[in-house]
Amino acid sequence: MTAKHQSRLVSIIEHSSLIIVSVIIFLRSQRYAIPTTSFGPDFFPRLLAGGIALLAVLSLSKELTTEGSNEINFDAKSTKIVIVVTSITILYLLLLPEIGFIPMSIAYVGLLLYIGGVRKYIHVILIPLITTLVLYMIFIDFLRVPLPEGPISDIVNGVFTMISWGIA
Amino acid sequence: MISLIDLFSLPVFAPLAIGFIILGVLIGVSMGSIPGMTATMTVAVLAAFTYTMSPVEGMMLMLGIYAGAVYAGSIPAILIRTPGTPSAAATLLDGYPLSEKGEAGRAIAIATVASAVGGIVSVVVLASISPTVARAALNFQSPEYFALAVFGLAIIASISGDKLIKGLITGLAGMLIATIGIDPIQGTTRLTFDQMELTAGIQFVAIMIGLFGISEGLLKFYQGIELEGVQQELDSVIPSLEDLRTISKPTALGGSLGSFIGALPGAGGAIGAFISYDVAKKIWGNETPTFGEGNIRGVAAAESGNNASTGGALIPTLTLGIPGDSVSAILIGVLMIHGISPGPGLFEEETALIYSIFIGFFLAFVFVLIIGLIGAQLWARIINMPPQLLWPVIFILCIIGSVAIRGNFFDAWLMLGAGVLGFLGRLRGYPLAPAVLGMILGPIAEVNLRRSLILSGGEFTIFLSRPITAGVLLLTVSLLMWPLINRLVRERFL
Repeated sequence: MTAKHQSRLVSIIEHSSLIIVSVIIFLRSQRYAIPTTSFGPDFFPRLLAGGIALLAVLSLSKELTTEGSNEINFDAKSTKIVIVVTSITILYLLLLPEIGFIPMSIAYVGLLLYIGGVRKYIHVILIPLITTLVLYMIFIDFLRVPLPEGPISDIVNGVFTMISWGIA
Repeated sequence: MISLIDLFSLPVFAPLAIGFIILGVLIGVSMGSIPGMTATMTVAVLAAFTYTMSPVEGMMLMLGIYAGAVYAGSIPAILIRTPGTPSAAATLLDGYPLSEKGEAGRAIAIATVASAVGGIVSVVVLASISPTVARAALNFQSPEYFALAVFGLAIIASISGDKLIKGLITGLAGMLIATIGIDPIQGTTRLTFDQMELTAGIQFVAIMIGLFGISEGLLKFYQGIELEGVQQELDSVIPSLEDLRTISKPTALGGSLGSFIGALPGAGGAIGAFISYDVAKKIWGNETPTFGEGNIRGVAAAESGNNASTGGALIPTLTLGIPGDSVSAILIGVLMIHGISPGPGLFEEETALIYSIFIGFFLAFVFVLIIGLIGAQLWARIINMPPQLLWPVIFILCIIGSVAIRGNFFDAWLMLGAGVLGFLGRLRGYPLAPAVLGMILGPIAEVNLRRSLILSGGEFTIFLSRPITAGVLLLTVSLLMWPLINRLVRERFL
């Protein structure tokens, strides 16, 4: 498949998705209609969904008739990196309530550093530790944000609290 | 009027009150610099500390945070293309390109000066014409608010550049996202798809962190993060006289527009910033570098308009008891903690407090200027860090910041979803700023459009029969037609 065909295919998938989502929202919004008024809760979402669908058709027709309208083409290797980073972020969010903020954040930042190309062990170890300590002080100590602390929280939090007291 | 002797005996001049202003600015700047840490959240979290203070001391701390955080939203907008506060979204349009050119220090210095001047202008407006402006705003009804929202949405046309259709799609998508939750008129739950967490609506700050933070990070990973490496011009944190001359008019323009727009309840800093930016673009759009490619006039107009809206927001808050924005709603709460009800009577019953607020807010912006310029060199260094070290930290800040807003993980998932969609959108040429504009203006447009049409029995002529509404709509049409008129005039006469 040539780059031009690939670009057209991506454009068709992209705009079709927009149209499908708009149609779903348009239909779903009909449930909120009130018989006594034309300007009920369904009015605005339907207006917007209709607008998006119309614009998507316009945009698609424009892209199919214009050469080189897609500036960036998808690249397999780079896409893989983005998928890995997104997956790690999803894992971080899934495991955070189970394992706790401190160990998960150290692991998450460390992994992202490694994926980003950092190979110096001192950076891969120190930056996650310092980042997590600073965030712990700001969000848990100062702002009292209810971040999950996990099963080993007593030990790790004790160490972190001592360090943050030392810094303060 | 208050005499000069009485003026200097006001509680705002007590060392402790001055200390609270400085502390507030420091906290505000520190928090506002972190993506997701909005002025609203910081003020809300710290409002509890004012219980033990006098009303003036409490207000000084809150106003310091307010001024500091609204200004500091520009710092991550310029350095990492992630507005720390929603109202700084317009700043990144020219601030980030400057940063990419290695001139982050210059951009921050311009933003600092414009923020302080914009804020000071707004305090002068607040103190001098507040009763008049507040009365005018109170007379506004649904058709006027709808016209104002449409006026704001017309800006999508100019911030989308040559991608108008895609800009309109993201703008409408933003408005659609804002309809999720309880319908503001009938109370029906809409588009929640049976998700309890969506009943209260979408937390648009989380969406914004995702759109501007995570999507940018994913794009960096996609494009090859190791190839990055912008060196900042750190010795230009004090703006040159030439730069000051260049930004003087856009700053004054932003200050005036922001003060007026901020006075309209619900309008807020984002609209003030975008309208100021847009008007500046219309006036100085032919200067080089062009707007969107690192023009300091764009940074100045946006930041001045943004910060000026703070003083403007206090006008209906103090005179009518109607909050101009979410922060001023919390400020009403802080006053009520001390048994003080904002409203017209406040100017007669609590003269010392009112004048202290005016002077305290003025001083807060003076401290923003000093602390901002002193710290500018420090903050600009953040982006000098190797990007491989910076982006993982930004990712985790985005996640924790989105959790911190309401203390739940649902917002973090929303943020990540918005980030991935934003990344895909950017790959396919969708401008993201219109989505933010849509999310802010969508609810205002919807409520007031529906109310107007219900009142008029479905007659759209209601928008043309009212002079203010018709005027604003005419202004909107002019705004949309301006590029065409400008081109025609140039082709015919120049």
